[in-house]
Amino acid sequence: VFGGIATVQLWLARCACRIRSCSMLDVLYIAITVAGFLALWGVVKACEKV
Amino acid sequence: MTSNGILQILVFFGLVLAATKPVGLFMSRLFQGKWTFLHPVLRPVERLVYRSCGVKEDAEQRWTQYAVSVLAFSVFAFLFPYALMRLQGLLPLNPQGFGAAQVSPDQAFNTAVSFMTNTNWQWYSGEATMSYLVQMAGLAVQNFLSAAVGIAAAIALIRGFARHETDTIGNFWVDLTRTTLYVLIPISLVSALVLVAQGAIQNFHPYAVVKTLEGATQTIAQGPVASQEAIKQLGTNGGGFFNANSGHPFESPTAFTNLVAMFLIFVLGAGLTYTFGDMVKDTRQGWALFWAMAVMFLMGVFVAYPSEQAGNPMLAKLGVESAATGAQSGGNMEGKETRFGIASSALFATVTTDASCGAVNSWHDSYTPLGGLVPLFNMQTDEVIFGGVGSGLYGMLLYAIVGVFIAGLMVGRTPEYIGKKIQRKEVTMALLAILATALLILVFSAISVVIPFAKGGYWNPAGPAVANLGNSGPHGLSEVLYAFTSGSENNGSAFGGITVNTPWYDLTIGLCMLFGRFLFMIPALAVAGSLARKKVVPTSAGTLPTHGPLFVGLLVGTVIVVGALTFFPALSLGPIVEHFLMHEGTLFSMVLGPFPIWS
Repeated sequence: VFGGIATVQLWLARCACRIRSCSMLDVLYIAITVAGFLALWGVVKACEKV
Repeated sequence: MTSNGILQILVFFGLVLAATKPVGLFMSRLFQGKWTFLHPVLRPVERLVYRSCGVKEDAEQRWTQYAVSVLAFSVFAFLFPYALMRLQGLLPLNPQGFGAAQVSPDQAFNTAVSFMTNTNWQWYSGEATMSYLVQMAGLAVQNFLSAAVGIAAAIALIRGFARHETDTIGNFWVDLTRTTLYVLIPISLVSALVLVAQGAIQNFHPYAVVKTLEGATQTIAQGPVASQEAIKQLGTNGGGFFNANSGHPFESPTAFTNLVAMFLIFVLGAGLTYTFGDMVKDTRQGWALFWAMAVMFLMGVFVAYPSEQAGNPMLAKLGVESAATGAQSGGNMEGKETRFGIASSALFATVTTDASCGAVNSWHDSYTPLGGLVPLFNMQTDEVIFGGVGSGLYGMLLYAIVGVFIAGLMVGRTPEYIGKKIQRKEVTMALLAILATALLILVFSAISVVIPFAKGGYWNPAGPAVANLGNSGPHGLSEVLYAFTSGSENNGSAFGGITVNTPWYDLTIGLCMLFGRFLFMIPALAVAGSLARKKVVPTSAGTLPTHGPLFVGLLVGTVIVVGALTFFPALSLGPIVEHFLMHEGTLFSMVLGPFPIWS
């Protein structure tokens, strides 16, 4: 699920990369962060079940 | 130690003690929805915020909703500063013409996570990197919001103890708004005016270029400093406008502003202990937490200060006078705030790492091994000594849960705290929070001392990650350990001596900050939700009193023992062995080239 969401984000961000000062590395780091938040959301769900 | 130095420490502690009740009482009334003296002015603004954001003031949230609100808010708290930094060249209030070249993607990631998580770890010199717009709209705004998130989470946990047989723990958006509007903005405003009155600068001028007395040319950085400085300390953020942080005379012009800075770092964390006591209807419980924190604070400062005042024994052997006299400070003055001396530097270093502030007025890398051990251990025990705003209190409450659990095991009774039975879920969550940060620190430190990178590559152009260290031997290990400790515990202070401005360190320390913040906060909220559902257990003859010296001792012991058991092996290889080697005659001086971690 995380991989799929990250792929969509990458594609959307690639469009945004037409802003000259942005690069694919921006996409990478934003995707890492969003994936991190999704993992934390998973932690919330897991803690609920404990 | 000198009597002057001891007096400085005691006066500072006295001020914090005096402010604890009034500040705590104000916050207690505020978060219980009662009228305060600021309501006539700020209540209309608060209502306007709710109307414009679509917040239903009376709608309560379960802990999962509260936690997801925190995460959702934090996503945007990351994206906005990130975009500001990368696009600063296209935006106004940028007289120095800084652009995307000053902040690469990995650096923007690191800084955005840093300010979103209340860490304020800085790989950069503010005056050479960030436009005024980024400093104000990106970083200073996050100073307010990240601090408000921490306090909101602490209030949610207090409600978990104070309420019973309910599913809800408050409303994150209301708590966030009230904290920012009634607590952070008013105190910051007054503090910024005090700083300006003392000589801190506040302007939008381009940098001044002047001729020095020797005829050289010097650039003097300017900017809106005082406004950022006030919330930097109050919100236990710590990110300096300038690279020299609170050692810069434009940030802290006088000894009085140095005292104000330390007071602001502690005042909300201390006040929240009283808030806790007042909200659970037993102020003795709050004072017990306060005194547990106070005992650990005094223990730390009275290890750091004498260690620095004793100085380096090898210099003494060479005949250098290291005793304090009327004419000189004695001790280890290397890296100290020379205007204010050893006591004030050691006190500041202890305060900033007791709390999760990270502002510095001296160079921790230059401390003696034991002097440097104190800030490191303060952070590794999860900064529960008054702590980060909010995070200090909920951290201490998690340790209290572990403490009463251990005490319960000893006497064979189900543990109770504040009238609630402490069961499997609470203990599991408390230990998850404590172990998660320890895991991040130790795993990333371990990887960094062994991971090989090709020289000239993307992740670490200097080669292996240890090539970035400024010192060899145990001091080098302390530098790595301190960096990941500071990131994972959301402190943000730098030991120094390690070049962290590479994609490897930007990414890994960024991940430590992100997971260190929320893997501590989410379990705390889970505990809040679990406790709020429980019935109140009447006090009986078998109930452990949690408001007296016995409990204070138990709590202090729990924090220190858990911290020591977790980090003693790593600390033994770092500052502890360095201390003994120093007394044997071996020092680990600054080296300029790549050096193995243990030579």
